[in-house]
Amino acid sequence: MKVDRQWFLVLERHEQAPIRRVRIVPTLKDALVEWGPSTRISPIFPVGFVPSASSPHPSGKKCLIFVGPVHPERLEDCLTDKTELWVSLGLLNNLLILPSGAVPKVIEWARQNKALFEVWETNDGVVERVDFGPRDKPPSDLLKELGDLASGHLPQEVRDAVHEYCPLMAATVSRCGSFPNRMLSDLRKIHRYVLGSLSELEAGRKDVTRYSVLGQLLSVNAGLSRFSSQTFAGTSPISETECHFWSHSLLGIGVATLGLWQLNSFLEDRLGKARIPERFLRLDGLNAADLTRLGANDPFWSGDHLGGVNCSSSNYEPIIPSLTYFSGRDGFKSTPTTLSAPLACVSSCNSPRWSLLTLTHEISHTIVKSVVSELYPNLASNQELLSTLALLEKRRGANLLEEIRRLLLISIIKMDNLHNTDPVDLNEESLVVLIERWEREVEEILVHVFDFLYFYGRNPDAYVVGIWTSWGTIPNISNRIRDYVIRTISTVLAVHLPRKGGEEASRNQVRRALKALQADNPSDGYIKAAIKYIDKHWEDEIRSQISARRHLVRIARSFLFSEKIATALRTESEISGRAGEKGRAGEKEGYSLKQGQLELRPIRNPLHFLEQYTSSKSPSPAGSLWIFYVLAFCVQGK
Amino acid sequence: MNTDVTNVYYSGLLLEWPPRAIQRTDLEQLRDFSFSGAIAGTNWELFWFRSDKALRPEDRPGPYRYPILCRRSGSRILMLSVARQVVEHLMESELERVFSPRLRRVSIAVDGLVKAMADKPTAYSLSFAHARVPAFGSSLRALSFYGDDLAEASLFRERIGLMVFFTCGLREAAGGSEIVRLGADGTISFFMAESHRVLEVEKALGFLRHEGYLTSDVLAT
Repeated sequence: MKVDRQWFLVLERHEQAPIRRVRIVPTLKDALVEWGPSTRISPIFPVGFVPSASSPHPSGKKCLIFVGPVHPERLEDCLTDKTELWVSLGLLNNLLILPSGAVPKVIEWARQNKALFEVWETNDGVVERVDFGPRDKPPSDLLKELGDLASGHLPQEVRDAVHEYCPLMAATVSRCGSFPNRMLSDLRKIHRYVLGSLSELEAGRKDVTRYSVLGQLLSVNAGLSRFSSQTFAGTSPISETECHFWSHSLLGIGVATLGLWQLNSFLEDRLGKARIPERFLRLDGLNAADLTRLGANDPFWSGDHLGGVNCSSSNYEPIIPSLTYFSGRDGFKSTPTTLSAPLACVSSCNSPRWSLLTLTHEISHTIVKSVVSELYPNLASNQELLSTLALLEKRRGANLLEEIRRLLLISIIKMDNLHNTDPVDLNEESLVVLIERWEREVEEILVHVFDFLYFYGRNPDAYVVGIWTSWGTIPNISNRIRDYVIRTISTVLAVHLPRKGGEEASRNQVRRALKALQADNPSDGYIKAAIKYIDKHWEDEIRSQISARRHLVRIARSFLFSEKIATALRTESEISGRAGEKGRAGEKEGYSLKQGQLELRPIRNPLHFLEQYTSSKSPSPAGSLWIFYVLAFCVQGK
Repeated sequence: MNTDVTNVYYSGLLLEWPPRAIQRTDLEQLRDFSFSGAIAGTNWELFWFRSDKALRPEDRPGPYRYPILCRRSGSRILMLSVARQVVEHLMESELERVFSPRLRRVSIAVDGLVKAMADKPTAYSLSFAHARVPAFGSSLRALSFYGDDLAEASLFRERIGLMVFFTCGLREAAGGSEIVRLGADGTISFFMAESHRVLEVEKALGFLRHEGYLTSDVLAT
């Protein structure tokens, strides 16, 4: 089932009469020149045939059946020589154009397999009759809870946001009947989160204010609104559900959302449930030597400390955000409940610049933020600040967690000393200033090393390409080159820590990878500027910055990384291990999947799949659609 | 039996066609494909496939004749030839024309098989295992083990949790040479020194089927 280049399905209402007309055109320009106030459009892709651009389409008496969300290969038995199969990113993702006699078989299949469907009977493109199948009933318990929430007493500051949230959530759950059960369960999690935040506010928790809850609600509403509009536009009745992503306004992008959700669910299953922050906290049960005096090659550094911690499975609160959506404004961004990817991914995620793998960086932030918050003292508590100062005076913390905390503080002081001629006189006040000044940099270094070890598989070339290519989309990147160079070299130091001259080895590896990237992208001036900065300022600036971050890199390498967790996260059992032949795009390492061929073959690790298949130099809608189809329909559990 | 087909290393794929049992007549519809005969005393069949194109490195001009060794069993078929590429070529060109919906690979749960054999010895022992080591990324990608009974060695068992196996070789625990080599993607290969080797391969595959290590790549949803 080979996917060909994109065409466009256009639906428009006649201006005078209550008539709708559908047409399939080869280019966006063909649709735009005849655009009317009611026109809606979506890219569609022919499967296994090449349409003729010269004749109007569809012509004569034809039936158009939209069926989804199902992989097209499952419809094989419904296809005949007279069927045209098109696919889209909409939730009703298969469009079959066929004579009316062949319709009952498809409808029967859809009913048996609980797929959504909608039938348009057309005559020379004029839609004469529309019919669609049943939908599952929405969960009445959740609707009742939403009703109770909307009618209950609410503080004035959050009332409007709750009144927006309730119908939005009701509309979303009532439309997601044909999605996997877990998606409804994720929506319930979000609802519980909202109820929990409001309860905390009502209970008068000190750290919860009306405006902090309002902020959480606004973020849930924004994510839910985009999720719902993008996913459920194009569900029955198609002509009445418009998507505000205008290039997909007719059918929406439900399959892309489903793919993104599958990727996120995988991360929750393999990484979220490993409960890294919880394990990390339990390091307070282990004794430790003075970490500042341990030799670089001491076996303690390479032990799997997190993996050795026993974590019970009860009372688990998900750490990975549950609600996924695409957003042009938010780009790659995570909040406690939402995770977004840029809209550009929808048509370009087969290329490194818009690779969905960048999401791992956001997930790394979520986990690391949770860990680091346990290492800092409460800056509003004088007692905690005094304890922290006392810890710095000591030669050794009482347990491993305290030692890590001490190592972190020493790193901060080292980084700060590079910017001051006189060392800071530490007291409660200056400690607060010091931590506030450096907490962002600390988090970034830990996140980068975490991302590098778990997701980039310690591969400096892949990491440099991944991270620097995605940075290319940032406006005014030239102002950030210095910070990014220091961050990148510090990260690669994670694999050179035991080595004498590790800083130089990291610099050389990063420089080599940047050179290769520059050769592939000669027009990207920021890469050239980064290389120039390394060459010019290694001795007088960069080297000392990297050395000052050595302890931070060590913390991430030895206490945030676990071989056991990484094995679970990076395992893919559906690979054969055959190395892909260079230049032969069809066969990537291990998978028998072929790019552009819609085949229902299982994969178990979407991260491994993305690593293998998002390397195209030219972003393409068809290539991106193929990636979303694999993510949405081929990912199987463990 | 044609002596040309012994002393050959065969490699191919285990495939499945869910609609019904695969018949010999189905295979006889393939172009340039001819039935040669059954391997004496077995249910294995030998076909010859004629190709103008070289399907493996050849040192003479075409056309070429490739032996295709088949074992049909209900909706499943094991197809082997002198190189796996021959079977893959058949899958991509000829078999798709005759079998609709297409034949699907049967996956072999090699990782589960190796770990179960390390945990609890069976009538077979591991003569070879190749594994990825996902935790260490590009620092350490893969490991290969060779021996008469890998699972007996503590070095192999103790770090097995960090490895994901995708190719392994089986021999009888009682001794003898390697019977068959298995790949997670349904690849099966063996050296056929004598024709009765196919019966040992068949028995080993029966063991895999019985223990639940064979799964079709058709997704349930």
